[in-house]
Amino acid sequence: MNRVSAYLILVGLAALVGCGGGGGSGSSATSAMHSASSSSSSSSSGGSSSGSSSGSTANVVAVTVNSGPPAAHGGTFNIPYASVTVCIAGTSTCATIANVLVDTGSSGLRLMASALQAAGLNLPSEADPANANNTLAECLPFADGYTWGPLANVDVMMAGETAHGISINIIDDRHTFTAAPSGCASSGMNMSLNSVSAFDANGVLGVGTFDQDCGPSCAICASFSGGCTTRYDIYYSCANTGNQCNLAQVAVNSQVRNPVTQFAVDNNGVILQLPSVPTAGQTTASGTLTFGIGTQTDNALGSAKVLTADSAGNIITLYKSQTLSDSFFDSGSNGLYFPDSSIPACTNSQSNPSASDFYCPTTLQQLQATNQGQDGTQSVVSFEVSNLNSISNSFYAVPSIGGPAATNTMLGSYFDWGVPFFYGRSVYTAIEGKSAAGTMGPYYAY
Amino acid sequence: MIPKSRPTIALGVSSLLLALLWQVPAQAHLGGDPSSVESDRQALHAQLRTVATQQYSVHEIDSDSGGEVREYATPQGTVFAVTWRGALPPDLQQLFGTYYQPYQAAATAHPRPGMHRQLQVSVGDLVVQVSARPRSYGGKAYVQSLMPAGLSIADLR
Repeated sequence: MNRVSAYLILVGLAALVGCGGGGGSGSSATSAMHSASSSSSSSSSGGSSSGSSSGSTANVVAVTVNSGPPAAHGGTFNIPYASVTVCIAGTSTCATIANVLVDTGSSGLRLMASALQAAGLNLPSEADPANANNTLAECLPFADGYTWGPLANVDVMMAGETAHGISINIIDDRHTFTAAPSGCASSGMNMSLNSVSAFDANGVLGVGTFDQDCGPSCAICASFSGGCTTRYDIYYSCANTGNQCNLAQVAVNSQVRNPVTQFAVDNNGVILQLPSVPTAGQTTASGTLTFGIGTQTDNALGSAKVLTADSAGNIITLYKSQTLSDSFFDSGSNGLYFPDSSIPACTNSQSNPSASDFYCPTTLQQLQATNQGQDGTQSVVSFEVSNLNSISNSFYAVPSIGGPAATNTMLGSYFDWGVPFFYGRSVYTAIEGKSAAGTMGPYYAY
Repeated sequence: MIPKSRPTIALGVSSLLLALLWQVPAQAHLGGDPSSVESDRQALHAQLRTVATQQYSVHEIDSDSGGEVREYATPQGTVFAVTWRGALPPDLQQLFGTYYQPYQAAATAHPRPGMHRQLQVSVGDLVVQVSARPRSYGGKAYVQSLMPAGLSIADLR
């Protein structure tokens, strides 16, 4: 569903941006923002709502599902946004960027250069530790294209939490950086996603199951003839003079980090909570992103069922006699994507050429699946899929949107539990190698 | 985990055959002949295992970075399907050969708001299904008109 033509009256969305923020315009800068923990933190940084008991670190930020930043031109449904404050590492030169997509399906922070510019923050690019005359850059592949841009070393602040001196990725939507090398553009899909409108967001806050966005695969290139120069990869080292970029090995600790893992406390995972929403949807929805699992009184596991994940962050979903072994929970997916040939897909049209990405059942489908952790723990989930064409264009929070996923008997199939699953739930995402409430991540719980 | 349907018989490509294939320049892959499998193996810096069944043969290419590519060829050697899975995506331009451009054109023909994790494209008799999350990339592509008679894509293992 293309929301380009949807114009919403924005209601009640004021004051999402804290710390001297600029309200609905999306971004704000300040040169005097210090760690929120130094004050009583009744108004802490990064669009937070204070959500912890006194004496502990504020660990909750507001999350809103709505039409997103103005440059998204109406946006699309089921995208959860939060504000993130970034500072030039070790300084008090900071900006708060609103409308950043909260993504439990990736790891690492990516911000649009245009949003940083609008906020008045000029982040210096990060030098390649192996070559001071070069800048580190990243090409990140998505199903429908790639993002490209330099790395920057920053402090990331949300609520009372700070990740000091971590690498983030600046998505070069201003096209001021070296152009994407051919290896980036020709592998996967040659489609630049370097724009606010491509993501309907000013950036992506990856708070998924991994500590780094790429991990060991990008830290090695032994046994390749000619070093790393002939292999498709994610990280590049770009000469500061000229336009030459070559593939680069980057040690895991220097890669784009999940900011949560670098917080001093509350660093073992997150809880994304969204409110219950009627089947047909509603205009917006407001929830929270809480840092830490079992580290404070406000992030206990409680009665949530833990589903342990494999090293790729996958669980198993049993659905209508299918064993979908590569399944996952992903707030970066705006629907429930799963294979079911009995539900008709929508029909493509000139006004909606990608309608077939979604299901259009003639009647509301009330369905059930069983999620299973790698340790065998099971959880039965009920969910609904309505006809996409029956959804009001003014509704941005819609819990009944589904779409077909490919089955792949050769390599594994999946159920992508996107944002609709999060409505009415607190979904825990525990990070690899971190113990969270007594269980080692990666796992999900709800 | 569901069975990954790994071939039970893994045959190494003979060194003679390998030596012969090495001489062949890189060319089309999906839709290509057996030499295209070898050029893909070289491009991916990978190990190759080949398993033959009556209806088709599977060339399984495992790269050092943990990625896995399978190319399915007719008994005559024409590659009619490719699948992949790994922490990094393979070079689809390499794997798709002459089918890359039509795929690219169809996939980029219009925006797909919110659809960054999966992509399904049919153009002509080419079908491509891609899933992509950081550290978890997979997909398959096949050319319907090149598939052996009586074989369904669901039959491939």
